[in-house]
Amino acid sequence: MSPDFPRNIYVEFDEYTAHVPYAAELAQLLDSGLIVFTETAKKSVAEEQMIRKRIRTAVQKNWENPERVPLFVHTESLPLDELSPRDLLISSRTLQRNTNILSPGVEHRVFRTTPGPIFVPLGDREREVVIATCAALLAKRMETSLVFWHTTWKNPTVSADDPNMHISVGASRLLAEARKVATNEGVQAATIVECADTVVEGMIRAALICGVSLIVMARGKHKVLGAYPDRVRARNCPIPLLILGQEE
Amino acid sequence: MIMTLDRSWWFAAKNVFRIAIALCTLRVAVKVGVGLLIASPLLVGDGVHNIGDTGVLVAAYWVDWFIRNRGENMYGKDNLPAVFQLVIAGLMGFLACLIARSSFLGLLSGEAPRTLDASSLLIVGIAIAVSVLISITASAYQIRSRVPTLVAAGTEMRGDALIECSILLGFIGEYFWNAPRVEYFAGLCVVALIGHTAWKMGVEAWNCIFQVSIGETFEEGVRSLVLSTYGVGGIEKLETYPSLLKGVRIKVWALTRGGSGADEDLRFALKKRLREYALSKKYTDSSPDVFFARLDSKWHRVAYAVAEQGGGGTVVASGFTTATQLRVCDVEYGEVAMAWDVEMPESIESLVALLIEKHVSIYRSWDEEERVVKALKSAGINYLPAPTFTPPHE
Repeated sequence: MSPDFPRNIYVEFDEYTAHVPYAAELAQLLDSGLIVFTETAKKSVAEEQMIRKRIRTAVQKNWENPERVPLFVHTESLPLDELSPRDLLISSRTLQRNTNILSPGVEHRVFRTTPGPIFVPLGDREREVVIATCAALLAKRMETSLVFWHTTWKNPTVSADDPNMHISVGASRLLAEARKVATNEGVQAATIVECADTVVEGMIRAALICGVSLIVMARGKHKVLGAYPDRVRARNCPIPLLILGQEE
Repeated sequence: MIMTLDRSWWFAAKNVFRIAIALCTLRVAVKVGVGLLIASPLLVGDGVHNIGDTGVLVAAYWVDWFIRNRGENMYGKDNLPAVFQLVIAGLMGFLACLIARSSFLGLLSGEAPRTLDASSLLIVGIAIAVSVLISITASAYQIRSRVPTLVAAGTEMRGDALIECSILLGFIGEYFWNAPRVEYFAGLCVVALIGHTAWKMGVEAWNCIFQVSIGETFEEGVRSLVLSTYGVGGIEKLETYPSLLKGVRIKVWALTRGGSGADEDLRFALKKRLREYALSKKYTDSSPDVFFARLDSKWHRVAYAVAEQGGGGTVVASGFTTATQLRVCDVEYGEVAMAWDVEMPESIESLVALLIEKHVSIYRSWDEEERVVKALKSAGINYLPAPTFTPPHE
């Protein structure tokens, strides 16, 4: 994952959703470029210029320093195929596997009050370290901390109540690596291990209890009831959710 | 299954209550009994003071039993402990008055209560030693139980052992300096202590029964915690009031967007966060309730002036005169939930009448004429230019 991720933030203009104000604030916070697309019927050049001007005004009212962030407005449909792994799309769409997509839900602001940590649910696959690295880079740029969360099955041969005693060797090693990544980036990281009854509910509830500002997940493997990130969204998770695309 | 001490019969909440009540009753009986035997207003007074501790435990235990066995269809049962405590506080106040009266009369008469001989001092010493032992043991036992009510009562009880030691020192001084009348003054001091305890218990019970707010600072903390939680759009109502023994009730009516699982997750998280907050403010036993109300329950209705495009489809019209249709949209929680088209009226008056009839609060077109904007404004309808030519659709 590139250290300057996201290089550009893409958003489709819709004045009723939270996407544009969220994207505008995130672009300002991360010093990324903001590219706004709005599909509109063919009109004259003067009218197109007027549309661009109006959208520019609507977007910039979310910024303290409008000159600081490079803003591009396009009066055409969003070219989804052209998005690179270094770009981020603010949207509620379900997209192809390699697109990084952030669904802010109904949140207009990146931080509600004080900057809450970034919540990273980790499993026991090797790719989790890549997710942790990306989250650590983001946390560094957003000047916040990290919470690594892992849920594990109860080991029937272990009688202790402490979930840390039930964790598998592989997951334990990956959590240690994730913490190391955070330390290397100079980001504070807390670790929560639970024996949650269900993964999706357990994850959302833990994130809400921790008061986090963003959940970062990998685009997971599709299961019978859908991949975990999709199920988190389907449960109307109130916290903004960043789903990292599968790198080629 | 490993049986630890904490999980044993001795630490079942019901049994801790019973044993603690028995120990506290024994302590009161020893003090009042020995106090009456040697005619000591000081010892009797301290025994009366301990009735408060016993009463609170009896109240909590009785109420728990009552709610389990007789509490069906009784919605105000939460007030029972407070009512019981108010009665105990009144009883303690009454007994304090009796002790104060006898101490005052003793002082005025100029007679000593009795002469404290060595055997009386020995009896007092044994009685106080038993009391101290009970205070320390019962306190530690209750705290170990981890039942919030018992932990709070046990913490209060810790200080009793210190008072008892001071009383014993007073008796020793009285014996060696042969000053039995000192007891009348000491009795008045104990009366002050009982009065203070009774007052505190009474105020606490009163605040519980009448659900008096914990205070602005506490409520402000609750408010900012709830509002900092993602998914909460506002607070419709907030209530905080005390329950007995350092307990607090918190009721929040949060405004949310709703959704199948979101409210359940929010309720779970908010309850936990509120419990932690209450604990940080030294309220050991808190029971938060979270209710939900819908955010923006009145839908926001917006109408767009639209015109048919040459190649098919529709675009936002420049204004009233070029529009062929009016697209009425229900905007719910930041998205167009429903949209339908109606024919554009021929006159501005008819347009205004139609918008009022449809409860439209915002009218939009690309670049509206001034006379239309003026007519809309006088009818209380806002005009906003549409940012693009693409009209919203369902």
